[in-house]
Amino acid sequence: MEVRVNNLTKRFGKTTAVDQINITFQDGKLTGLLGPSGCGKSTTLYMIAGLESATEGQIIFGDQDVTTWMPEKRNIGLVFQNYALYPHMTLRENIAFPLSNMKDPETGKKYTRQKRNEMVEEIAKLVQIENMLDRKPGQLSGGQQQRVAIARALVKKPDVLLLDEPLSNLDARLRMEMRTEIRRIQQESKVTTIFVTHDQEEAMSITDEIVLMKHGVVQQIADPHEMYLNPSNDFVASFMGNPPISYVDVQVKDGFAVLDNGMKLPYHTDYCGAAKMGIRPEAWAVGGDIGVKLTDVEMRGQDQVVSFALGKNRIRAILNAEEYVRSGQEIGLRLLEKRCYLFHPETGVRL
Amino acid sequence: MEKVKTAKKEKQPKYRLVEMSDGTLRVRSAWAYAYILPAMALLLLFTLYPLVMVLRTAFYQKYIYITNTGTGFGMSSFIWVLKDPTFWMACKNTLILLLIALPITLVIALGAALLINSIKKLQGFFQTVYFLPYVTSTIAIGMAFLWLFHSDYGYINYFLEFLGIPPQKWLTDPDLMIVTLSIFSIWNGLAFKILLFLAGLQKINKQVYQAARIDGASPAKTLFRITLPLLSPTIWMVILVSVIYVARTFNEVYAMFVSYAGGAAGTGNAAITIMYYIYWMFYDQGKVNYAAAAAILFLIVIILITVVQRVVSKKFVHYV
Amino acid sequence: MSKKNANDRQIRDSGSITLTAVKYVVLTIGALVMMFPFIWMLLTSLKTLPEAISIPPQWMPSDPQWVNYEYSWNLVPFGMFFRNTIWVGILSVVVTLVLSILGAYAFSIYSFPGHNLCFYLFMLTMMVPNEILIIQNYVTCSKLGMLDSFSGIVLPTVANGFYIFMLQEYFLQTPPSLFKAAKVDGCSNLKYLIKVVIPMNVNAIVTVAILTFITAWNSFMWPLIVTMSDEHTLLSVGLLRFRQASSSNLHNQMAAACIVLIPMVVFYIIFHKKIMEGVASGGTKG
Repeated sequence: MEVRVNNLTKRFGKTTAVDQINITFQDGKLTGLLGPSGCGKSTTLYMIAGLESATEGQIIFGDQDVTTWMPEKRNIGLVFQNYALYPHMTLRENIAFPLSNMKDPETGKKYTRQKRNEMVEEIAKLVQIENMLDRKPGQLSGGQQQRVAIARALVKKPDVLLLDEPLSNLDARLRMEMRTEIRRIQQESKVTTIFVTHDQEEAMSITDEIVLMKHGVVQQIADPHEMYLNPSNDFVASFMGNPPISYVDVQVKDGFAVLDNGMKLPYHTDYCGAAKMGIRPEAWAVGGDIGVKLTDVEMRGQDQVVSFALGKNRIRAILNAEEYVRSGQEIGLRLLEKRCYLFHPETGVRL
Repeated sequence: MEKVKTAKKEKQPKYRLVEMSDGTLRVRSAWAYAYILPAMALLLLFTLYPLVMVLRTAFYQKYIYITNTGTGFGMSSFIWVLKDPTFWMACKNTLILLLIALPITLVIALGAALLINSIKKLQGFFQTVYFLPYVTSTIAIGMAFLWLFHSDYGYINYFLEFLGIPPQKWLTDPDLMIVTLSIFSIWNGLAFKILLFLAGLQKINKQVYQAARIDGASPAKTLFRITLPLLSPTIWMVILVSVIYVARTFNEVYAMFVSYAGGAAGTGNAAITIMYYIYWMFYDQGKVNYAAAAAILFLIVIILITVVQRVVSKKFVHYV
Repeated sequence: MSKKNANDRQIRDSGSITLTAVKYVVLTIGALVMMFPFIWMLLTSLKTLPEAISIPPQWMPSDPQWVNYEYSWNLVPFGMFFRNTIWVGILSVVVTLVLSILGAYAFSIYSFPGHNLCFYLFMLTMMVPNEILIIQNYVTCSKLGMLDSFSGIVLPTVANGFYIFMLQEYFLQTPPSLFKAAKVDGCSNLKYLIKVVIPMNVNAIVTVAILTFITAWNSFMWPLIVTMSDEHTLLSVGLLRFRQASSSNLHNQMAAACIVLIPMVVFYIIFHKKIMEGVASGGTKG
């Protein structure tokens, strides 16, 4: 089911947590709500869930305005950051709990015990916890609890699945594992999914589309490729990518971007005048006529991150691991123009 | 390194560090005894020693308090106490307080705590008001109840008359006195239990309730399937604490029914509790060996209750 | 996150407004029941005797009789009872704190032969009701010459296993690495207690202090037995003396009860947060 929010706004007293956002979450897709903490992404999710009321605007599921509906009427599944499993119930009881509160759409009566068990087992198989259904949540690891929480959210076949930072309580290795699991489960169940995270790598790796927010305002809505390769402003460019993009202040004219110290970088554009130029670390390659002196070299294995000064700006670049460079060394670099972006020096908007 | 100097053995430390099995570091040193000595001395003098002495006194057949001497060991004091109708009256009253008044208190307190926990505004205010009786002297507040229950001038009888019920002799009718005592105990015991229930409720993760809403649980179902099971350790703990507390009821009896130091607990001792019986035997009747025997019987029951509670809680109250 | 904006379009919750209203009504009635004895007491203490015992009741005093308080204050030496009670309260708090902190520290930091035996002995005090020990403690106090004295009131009640147990639980939560660091820095054990353990557990210690003070202030049975002279009588016992001395003068009795209650109520209103926190954590720790 497609989910739309129109001019959705949330104010807490005088502070505006979410400011007039318009988003369409496509049917059957996994959409990431991404942004730094306090950007309003979780508030947005909770408004969609109905656990927070909207100050202004509408929330539309399919063709129905659900803005003032109670959460239990919206047919959603929600996975909490700390899972919020019922600690006194077994996994089976946890997962069956939503079913015990609803009527079987086929018969119009309560689910039979047998039907309920079948549904629980089926969903347990999907999230791969079928052999531990009689345990209690306290006996499980974080990753397993996560699977139970997802199963509980999915068992009632919700129209929308909402995930609130579901991976943040896991250690690094499990996080990698679980994010591919979430992707797999989402693709198998084909449920419209909204996934809140503050981790850009997480968002890029598993989502179909990313909504990037800052201070309650949507910055850009795009698929991961588009978001990384074609950022709409300097915040988006900075937020996506690790190591982050570096900036230099330049004057652009005649196919060159000129730094304060007179250094010229080749850049072909119609624009002419002052700009903030963002250079992705992978835009650099060894062997060119831009001479720099390396101040720092971090070997990462598959590649290496080097730092150097360009005018008064510190630049980070990713170089091929095979190039043997040392800190203090002077080398010549060349620049891939298509990995450089020009932003307005004050507003930060992409030029 | 030309000269390896053997470090002159400075002061050898008087202690040794020991790593315990649970990873904590303990110091092995005789200084520990100095730290526990003050508390231990008072413990031995005012708890352990009297316990042994009370036990001894209880087995004397004759005992002279002034000289602290007794003659003839035997069970006669216990037999006398067990044959004393007043003792059985005390047991009956204490049981009524435990089996009727305490459950009522617990239910009301739980209801009040659930209500307070479910509202958004004035939560702190109600909490503060309901807790007030805990900090105020039972004797002082008992004086107010004494007059409210007064058969001629009391507002309670006046109120009952309003409802068409004839005035009752709350404080002097032997059949009603235990009711009066129960009402006062319930009122007096609510505060502590409401507070503990509230503390327990506030420890329940709020997101579990949100999850229950998403899962479509009705308020009643949330109460019985989520809140109460999650509160059960707190409920059990409150029962544990209050059973012992109620079994020791004394101040309430004194405040409502005792007119002079050491006097009987109301007309014909009808409001007597076990604790008051011990006090009364000792202070007023001067039958110290009987008081001691009653105390030992009481202690045995308390220990039995505690053991049963331990076993039950190991069996039933475990989750997470 | 909980501040609701008045403009919010509330999520439709059928019947929730009536339900909320019912909740407040029930809670308010309950609050009135809990407060009624206090309010009635205060009003009655300002009435004349005929007003106090009139049926049908006269709720408000027509002319506040402050003289009731003057009369009650002078009938028995309430000033002295106050001094005694405060003094006993402070004494109990100080002695209990010193004993419990030292004891809990020994159990949490040291390992020594008899560690567990001593610990179980302290646990025993939690099981044995103090009241059954009065029979012998009275004799002990009389032998030690502590009858009718402050030390006689305080000392038998301060070796409290519960507080040692509770503080020990808190002290054990101090990370062992901190202790190792202190040892590396050459910190003596006593200094570690004073500089690290006590400051880190101020909250728990304040809780013990509050609980002890309230218990001492309202203590009744033991002071009733062990004291005789006005010079050592506590408020609750003194109030009973007053009740006997004043026969059935309701208005004066209520004035006396108010004299005893009002300071505690004021103390409670000022510190209610801390007191409730303390009782809740003390209660739940057990």
